[in-house]
Amino acid sequence: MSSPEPILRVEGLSKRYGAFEALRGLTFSIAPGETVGMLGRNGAGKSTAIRILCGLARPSAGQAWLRGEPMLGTRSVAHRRLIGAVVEAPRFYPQLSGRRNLLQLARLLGVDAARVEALLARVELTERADVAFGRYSMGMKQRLGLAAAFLHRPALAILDEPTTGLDPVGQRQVRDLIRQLAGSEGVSTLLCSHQLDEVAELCGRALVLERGALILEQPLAAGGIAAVEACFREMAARTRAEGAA
Amino acid sequence: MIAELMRQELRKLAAQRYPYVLLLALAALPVLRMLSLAWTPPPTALDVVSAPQLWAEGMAWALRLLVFVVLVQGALAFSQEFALGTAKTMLTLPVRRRDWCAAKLATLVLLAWALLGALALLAAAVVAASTGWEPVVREGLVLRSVAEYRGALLLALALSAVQLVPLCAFALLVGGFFSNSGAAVGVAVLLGMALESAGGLLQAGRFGFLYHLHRPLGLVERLGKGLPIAWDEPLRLGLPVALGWAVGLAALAWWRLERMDIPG
Repeated sequence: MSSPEPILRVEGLSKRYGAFEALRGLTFSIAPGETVGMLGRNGAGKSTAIRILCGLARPSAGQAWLRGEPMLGTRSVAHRRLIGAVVEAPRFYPQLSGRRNLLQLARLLGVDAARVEALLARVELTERADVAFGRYSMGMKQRLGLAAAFLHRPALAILDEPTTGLDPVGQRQVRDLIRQLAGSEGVSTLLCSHQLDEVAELCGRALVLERGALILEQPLAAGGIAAVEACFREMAARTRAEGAA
Repeated sequence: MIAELMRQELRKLAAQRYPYVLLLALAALPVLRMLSLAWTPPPTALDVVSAPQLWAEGMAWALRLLVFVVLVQGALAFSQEFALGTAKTMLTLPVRRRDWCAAKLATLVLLAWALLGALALLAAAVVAASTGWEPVVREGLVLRSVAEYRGALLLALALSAVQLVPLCAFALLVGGFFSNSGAAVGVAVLLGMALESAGGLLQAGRFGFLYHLHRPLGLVERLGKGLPIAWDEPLRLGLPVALGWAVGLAALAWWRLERMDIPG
């Protein structure tokens, strides 16, 4: 039996800033309905990869395909209808309310107002929907970001550190929301995180990046997380050794 | 898509406080200048201020301030989106960068035109309330009838409006190089003022876009004094120069946005 066509296929993705290689030949794929975690230390290339996949940065080399269609270096932006993203942190207009921000995005995406209200209820922001975004707490901002990412029922959600800066309760809320939204809407997810337990909880597979390259691709079922932890221990030991040298 | 983006630009602008402060300054200063000019007794009969002169003086002040407002607002258009990170939110949507750029430029131009039109009406109201829209008379001799100068006023207004388009594109382009909105505004205002001054100093300035901005109102002022005027330069040189710069600067702003990695 042949495996289904991946929702996202990335091949040889590279990004160079002068002499510095931020990303080196990144290759991976995500199957329909799959949630994949991307891990790595600061500066490993995770955000660079996500920024390229979201169309915010241009790759130096490589290509990515969304449902088999090339998505990088093309004039068309139609593929972005299939992607819902929160890059680095949810960013909205601070002077507009949460509801107004979502409604503006909805109009650009051709989504009706009922969907906006449904998502506001889903992320528990209905009561605070008319408060200016600039007055939201970090947790509310992250929840509004998730609502925006799932607004147009994307095929692929790209979430960059969605629980960063949240207290434990906020983290729990956001993790539950990601599981619910991705699960109920059958959305494939690429989750970039610094937290191993978050990836272990939400993802079926982990990608570990180091110095711009993919160094480990590990299914997380049946204790796979131990292999990821071992990889991080090895990286920490190597850093200590390099520091001592 | 561009119309929807423009609507959203206006909504964002309306939800902020600083545009209203700028508007207040933009309206108050020319009116005060006009009233002081109208109410100051002339030293001699030859110094009596005519209606077109008064209107042109008020509009000259308004235009000077409008240049500042356009530079500030244009420089903020992209730099504020980069600083807030909202450019990332916008450009992960199926929004073409060229559409976004076109919407920002069109909104800025429409805003500048709307302000210019409103200020022209305000100046006209001040003239009506002070000197009245009377013919230009010197020593009992009618030099220009109201019908004669009304057309000149409208032509000067239209030519000034065209000259604002390259200024809008210039401010937008400068703002595209900064992710710090304060720095963008500072550089845009400094460069704009420097270009405006240099245009008047150099012979080659005639081919710059700011050189022709104040010329049409200067002609109205001459007309208000009963002096002969010619529209040759603003029409034959000013218009093509403005359109050429507008297209060139807008293309550069779009090229810059299209090629760049979105900061933040």
